[in-house]
Amino acid sequence: MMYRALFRHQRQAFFRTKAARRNIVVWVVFGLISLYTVFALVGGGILFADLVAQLDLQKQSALILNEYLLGVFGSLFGLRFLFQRSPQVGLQPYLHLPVPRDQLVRYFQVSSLLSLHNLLPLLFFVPFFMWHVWPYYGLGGSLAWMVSVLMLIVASNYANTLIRLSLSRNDWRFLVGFSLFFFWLILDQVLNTLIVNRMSSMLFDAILEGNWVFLLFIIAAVDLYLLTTTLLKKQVGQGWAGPNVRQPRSALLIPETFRRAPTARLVWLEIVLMLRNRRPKHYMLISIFFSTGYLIFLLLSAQEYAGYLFGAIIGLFASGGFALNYGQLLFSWESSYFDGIITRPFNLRTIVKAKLILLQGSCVLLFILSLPLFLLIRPDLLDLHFAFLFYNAGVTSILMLLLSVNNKQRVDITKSGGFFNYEGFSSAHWLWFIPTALPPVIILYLFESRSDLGLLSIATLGIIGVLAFRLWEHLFATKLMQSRYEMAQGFKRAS
Amino acid sequence: MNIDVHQLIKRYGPAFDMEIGEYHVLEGDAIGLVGNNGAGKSTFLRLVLDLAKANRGYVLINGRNVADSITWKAFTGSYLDESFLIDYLTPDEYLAFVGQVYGYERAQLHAALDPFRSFYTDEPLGQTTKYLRELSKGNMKKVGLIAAMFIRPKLLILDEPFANLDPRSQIQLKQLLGDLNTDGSTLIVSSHDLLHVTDICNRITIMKSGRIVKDIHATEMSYRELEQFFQDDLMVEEPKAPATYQPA
Repeated sequence: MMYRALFRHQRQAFFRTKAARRNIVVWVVFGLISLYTVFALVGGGILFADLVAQLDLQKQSALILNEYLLGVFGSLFGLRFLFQRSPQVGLQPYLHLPVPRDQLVRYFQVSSLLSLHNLLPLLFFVPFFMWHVWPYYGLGGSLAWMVSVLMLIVASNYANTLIRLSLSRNDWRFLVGFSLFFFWLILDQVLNTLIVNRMSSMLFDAILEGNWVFLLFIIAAVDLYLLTTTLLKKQVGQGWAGPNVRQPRSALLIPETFRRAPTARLVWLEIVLMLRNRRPKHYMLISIFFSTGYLIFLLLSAQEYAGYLFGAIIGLFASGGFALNYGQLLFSWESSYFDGIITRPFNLRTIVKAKLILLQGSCVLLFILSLPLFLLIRPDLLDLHFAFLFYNAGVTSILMLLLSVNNKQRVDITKSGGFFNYEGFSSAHWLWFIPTALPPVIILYLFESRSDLGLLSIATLGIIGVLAFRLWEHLFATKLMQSRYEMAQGFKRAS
Repeated sequence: MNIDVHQLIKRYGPAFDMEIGEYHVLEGDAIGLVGNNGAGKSTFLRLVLDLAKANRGYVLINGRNVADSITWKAFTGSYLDESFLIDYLTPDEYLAFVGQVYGYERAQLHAALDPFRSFYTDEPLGQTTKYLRELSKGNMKKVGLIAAMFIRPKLLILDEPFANLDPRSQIQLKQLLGDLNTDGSTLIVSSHDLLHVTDICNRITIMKSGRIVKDIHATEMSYRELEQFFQDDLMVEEPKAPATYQPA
């Protein structure tokens, strides 16, 4: 009875969010993305052999996959840590009720398994098991392999809870550690040492052959479940005070040099916003990941300059990832204190200028961050990287600001920026990528035979955009002046 | 520091409309804005602060339309609700930010905050470690009030400043507001607490259903007068009791 009520509450919490009440266009786009994800994962699982046949590896599909299992689960753990809520967040509203706390903890522990971080991998692994493991290996080995994968998912789920419980909210320690681990994974691939691949193969190949080592995964999953359950019960028993408890910290005041510069104060404020709030921080980290980790795979995956579409994607995301990602929700990020900003004596041009500097500055920073990767892996694409630096600073940033001065939806910045959190997005946000990405794609397509001319045109567009800084400042300040009432009213509406 | 309201109309759908013909606030006035929930007090304050667009009419501060200029913001302090607070900053960071906006140097800021140190007692100002979102409602409100007051505004606009404050802080706040008014600040304070309003204000404006229905000078009798007004209001609006059965 109690479990049923708790389950109903979780269902209601999902369907009654503001995101669930979006308009039909958002739902259609959202549905298409979901369908694509499901088809890609299930299709990948079924057609794995055909996909890897092109690589001519002369190996069984399962043996190929085994090589990557540890690395993939390790990488996915980083995403899980960023986006997956830990069960204690849901517990709090029930603690004052006459419900046995053990029962509550058990329920939230088990229901945490229903996370997309656990379900999405199954969409790939179950068909893969049916098509590529079960028919080729014995019953014992096949089942042991599947159980190992399942237990690895379960263990990751509870390891995430364990880390969150132990670190409280000092997640930077984990992020630093994980970044080092991730770069080691990449180095392992780039330098072709493949230590992780060999360890992974050794472990999962042995399991397929019927080795009892799969029991280790079961033990790990069960132990982590028991450990996190005990920790949660202990915290609940001690009168756990919620997720906002922090260690004392010292004030992060703006450097004296910038105190007199109103634009610098607003940029500082936005940087602090990113560092101290979950969703903006996630957007910032994802942008950095696009410009580094993901870029490595993009650069490595193309043997030669692979045409206009590939070029545009690399160029846009290498230096413009932050503008494209974080820039969409400018002003909405500040929805909880928008009134407080516009009642203070800020010139609207100063506010716009701060946003532009933030976006354009991010393009330069990401350009510098990703430059060594171009130099190391694809020096022949340096001209593309340079051309898109100007495009992103002069065009992408402007288009994102144009989109954001129309933002009128409140955003809860303390929530995760993970799957299904589209709070603040309207249909315009989904469609805005088209006018942003289309010009460079068309230019690169038209100049496919003379890519130097194409890149020169893209850079020129960007330089014109950068030089027109004051014009944008004036135009957007005027627009902000007109839409400030609607923004203030929209931002006040609770989700 | 005058405020002039002319033919101000604000409509929020069919359920609510606010209409104020002519209303004037003179320099040095301390106005208590009272009225039941939904009377239009907060809407009025939002219009004065240019946070909402009027359907008709306008508000002038020192002769300039608030919607067309920002000069009035340089000498206006305000706190309506938590949407004025940047909740991921500590109180020190927030107050330093506000101080910088008004051109305070670090030493000036330190001095300007001195009168408020005994008002905010959760952690000593200058050594705060919690983010605003981690504070209790009362402490959060205190930070918002300090941010509105320490800049020594010529015009101070506060919505329900006494709500959520402990008794000691309410007494301190009355003292702080009184000091500001004595120094020449014009105050507009909306409140449900009739006693506090009559204590600090020289003029009381009563709103009902989006209209100003009474505008009186505060005297020793004001509290009784206000109490009587709301007592009468209660009688008028009290739902009629169902007809009782009368045996034959």
